[in-house]
Amino acid sequence: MNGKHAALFAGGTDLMVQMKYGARAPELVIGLKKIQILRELAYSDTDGLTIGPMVSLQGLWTSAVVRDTFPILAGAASLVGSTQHQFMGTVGGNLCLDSRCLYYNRPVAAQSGNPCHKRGGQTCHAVRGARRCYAVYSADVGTVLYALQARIVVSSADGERSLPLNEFFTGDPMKPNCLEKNELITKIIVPPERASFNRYYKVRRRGSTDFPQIGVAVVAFPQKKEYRVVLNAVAGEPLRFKDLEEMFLCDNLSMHRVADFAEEAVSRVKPVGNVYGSPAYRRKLVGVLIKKAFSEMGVN
Amino acid sequence: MDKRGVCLRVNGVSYAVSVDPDDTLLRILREELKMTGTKAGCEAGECGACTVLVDGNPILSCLALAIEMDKKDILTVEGLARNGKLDPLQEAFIDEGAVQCGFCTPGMLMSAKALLNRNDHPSEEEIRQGLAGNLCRCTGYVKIVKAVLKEAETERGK
Repeated sequence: MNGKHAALFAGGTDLMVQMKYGARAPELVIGLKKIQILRELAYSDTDGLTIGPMVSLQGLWTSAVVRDTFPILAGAASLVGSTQHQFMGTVGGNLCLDSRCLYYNRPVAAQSGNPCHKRGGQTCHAVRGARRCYAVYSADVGTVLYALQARIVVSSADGERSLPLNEFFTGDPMKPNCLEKNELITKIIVPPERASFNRYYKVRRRGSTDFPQIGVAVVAFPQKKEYRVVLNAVAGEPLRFKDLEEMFLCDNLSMHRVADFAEEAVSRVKPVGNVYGSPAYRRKLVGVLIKKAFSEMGVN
Repeated sequence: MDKRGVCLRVNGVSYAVSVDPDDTLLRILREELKMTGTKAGCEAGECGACTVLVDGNPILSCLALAIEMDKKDILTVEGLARNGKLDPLQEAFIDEGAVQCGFCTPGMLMSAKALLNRNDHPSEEEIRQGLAGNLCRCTGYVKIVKAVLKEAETERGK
């Protein structure tokens, strides 16, 4: 973009707020709304679900094919923000949601002239003395797409590349995904493999509008003894403990083993005070939601 | 920044407006077109007071760029009444006493209108969900929900 710092504008529900708060100040804002090809939504048994990044969250969760094939995805989209956010916000925008923190996502004046790491300063207001940023990835749909092992296709003037979402997220709150400045997500592809149980749990302060205090996505394939548990809003990226899944959930699945898994997972998450709710409460929720999911799955 | 000309179709009337690229739809409605029915609340997409319908869908005008609204059909609270007669939904709000300070009312009406356009048989739960993005600081939610339920029942009875 002629060397200028540009930002892509999808639904605007994240970027506009950041610009108003002075957290981001792009020289150019490039609207994507008129690119019809980015709004495609299609399913086939061979290719799976192909989602254009400009499909609205409302369009996603009201789609009959999405509700039928991946109810977890429809469920997560229906829990993002409010109805208005769901009409404006897009799947690509949710996937690329910037990492969030109570201290970062506020008007610039709230930082009292002492900008945090993510605003180019040397301070962390959430963790005193911290030398790095602790902002968390909080996207409900992004977390579920990760749990479904979706891939994305990314285009730039140099060509096209495809990558799985576990390579997309960096875990670095300063730059939560690996998109280059000249790149645009053009497709999100969810593999056709259907889980026997797939559900997303979200706890937030109010019943609407708020970002998650904790989110848990559970996708189960009992036939191949695979149970994916992905946590949202506790780290700079969706968090999955594959070793714990293999240790506790692959064989002889029972609520007793789920409880052991949950306890280990809780001991590994380290939320800090940068989301509403105390870190202790949010850690406890991780265990509660994991056990709730497996109980609803019918595990005894 | 260079201004751009856009054509906004607001409540059935076309307006040629010159906008800055970073003008929000909210600012243009209130300050250029002088339609102050749409309220500026948090201006960060959290309170729903600025809700308007664009091509029938409820959006937050504080987060929408006016430049992207060229040739879109925009319905604001000023457009609900027809020929000097209030919309039945507005009448239901009055009948049920669903207005206290009134600041959230335009946004509530627009969200409710959009909900009833999508679903003419909303349950109480669906109404609460549909209006969950609109905050009422007077906490007058019960009467607001009653008003929308009443309007839905009236429409079904016709």
